[in-house]
Amino acid sequence: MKLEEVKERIKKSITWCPGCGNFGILKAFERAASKLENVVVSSGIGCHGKISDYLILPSCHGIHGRVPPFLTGIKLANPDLTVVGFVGDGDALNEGIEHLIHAAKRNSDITIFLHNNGVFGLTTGQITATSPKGFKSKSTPKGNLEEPLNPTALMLVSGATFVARGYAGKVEHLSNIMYKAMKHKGFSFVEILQPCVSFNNTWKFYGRKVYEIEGDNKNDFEKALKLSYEDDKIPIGVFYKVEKESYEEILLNL
Amino acid sequence: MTVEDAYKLAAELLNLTWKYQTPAVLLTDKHLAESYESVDGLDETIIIDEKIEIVEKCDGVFKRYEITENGVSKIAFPPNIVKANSNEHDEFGFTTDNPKTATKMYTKRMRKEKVIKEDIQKREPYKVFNYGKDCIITWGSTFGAVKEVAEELGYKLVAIRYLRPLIVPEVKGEVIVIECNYSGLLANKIEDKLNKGGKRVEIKRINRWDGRPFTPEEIRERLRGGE
Repeated sequence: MKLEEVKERIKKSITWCPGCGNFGILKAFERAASKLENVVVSSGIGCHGKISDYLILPSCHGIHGRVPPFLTGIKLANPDLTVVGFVGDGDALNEGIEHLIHAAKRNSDITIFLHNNGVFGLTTGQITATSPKGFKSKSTPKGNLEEPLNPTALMLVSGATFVARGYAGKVEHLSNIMYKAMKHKGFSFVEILQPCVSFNNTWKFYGRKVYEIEGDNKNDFEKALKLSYEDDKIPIGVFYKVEKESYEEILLNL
Repeated sequence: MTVEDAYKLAAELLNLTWKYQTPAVLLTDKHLAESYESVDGLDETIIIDEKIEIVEKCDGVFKRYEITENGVSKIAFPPNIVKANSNEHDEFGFTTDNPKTATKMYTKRMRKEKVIKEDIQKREPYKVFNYGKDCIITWGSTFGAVKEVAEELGYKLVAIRYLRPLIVPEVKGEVIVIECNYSGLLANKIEDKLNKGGKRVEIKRINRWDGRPFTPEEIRERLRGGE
């Protein structure tokens, strides 16, 4: 199928709600990916997962929570590819959390973009591992009983060598972070704050709280953890970046 | 059946997954995994690396799931624009919930069953040892103990290698299925197959389900004891 035809088809077929944070993420990624070669993407199950259908790139729209091992497999099969995954908070921090932690731990040379909207959106609004305590949802009508996980902190302690946070409402900033993440050799993780207009509308909340931090080469682990947990205001930018041998590098050079 | 057979089947199944682009499962068990075997000439065993057709370069989006007569589509890899999808999808790999497309794609995948069965039929789906008239059917590592007794007491032995697709030879006389599970899972499937079209075959089951393998002694006892 010719590319022009595909572009037209895609425009007519996007089923994200008007106002969804995913539009910003898509735009930011398209800009960043246009500067790179041989990009392959994978996405999991959720509203985030639909991004595979909206990108004119080789893709694997896989099963719930299983993006990280898939990406490692692709990278091992062909190390020349730039391997990128889109995951959801329910997808990667509920269903596939063990895959995510191990991919970070082994410094697999892949990039993970987390669409963190704090709900299982595709199934119309149940809580996930990142939903705040007290949050009233379809599955917790009296309020969420549990405290949430902190994605960037989790990735830092799991050994990720590039950790950053972005916001769907700041497309240019996010695009730069995505580019840096994809260029980084080793496991890159970007938590993307994504408002969900239908089930967890945080546009106003993030609009007030988000602020940009400066700098790229950061190897202060403690500072990165502090940035992860800061919540009076919410920092976005690169939190942590160190250089280490990647899993594929070690394995393929044996 | 044996360690040697598992070695050969592993290669055969890899070839099959590439050829038909479906998953394959090599079912082994603890007894097999903990056994040692001496095999002559294993390195000279011809495990044919079957050639499959890979499209090197394509323009635009590749038709990864092209609807074909036998259900198998051509394959290409990145950096060509190939879209793999675990949701229902159209021929290009874009997600769809259109009922007409869903019906066509599902039917296309199911068409593979025919060509797969024809292929397996040529690969020894079962092995027959003609030591007698009444028939014992078994699968997996139970084969070793059964073979010893079948040879001694004079039974025809059928060792099933492919459980799916399940292809069973014609059998006459009494049919006994020996396996390590409670209800006789293989016996159930064989009964379904052999009892089609009004024919009635009595399948006798000899089972154990304590997580341990059969010994020849036990098989001999239970065959004689007529349990």
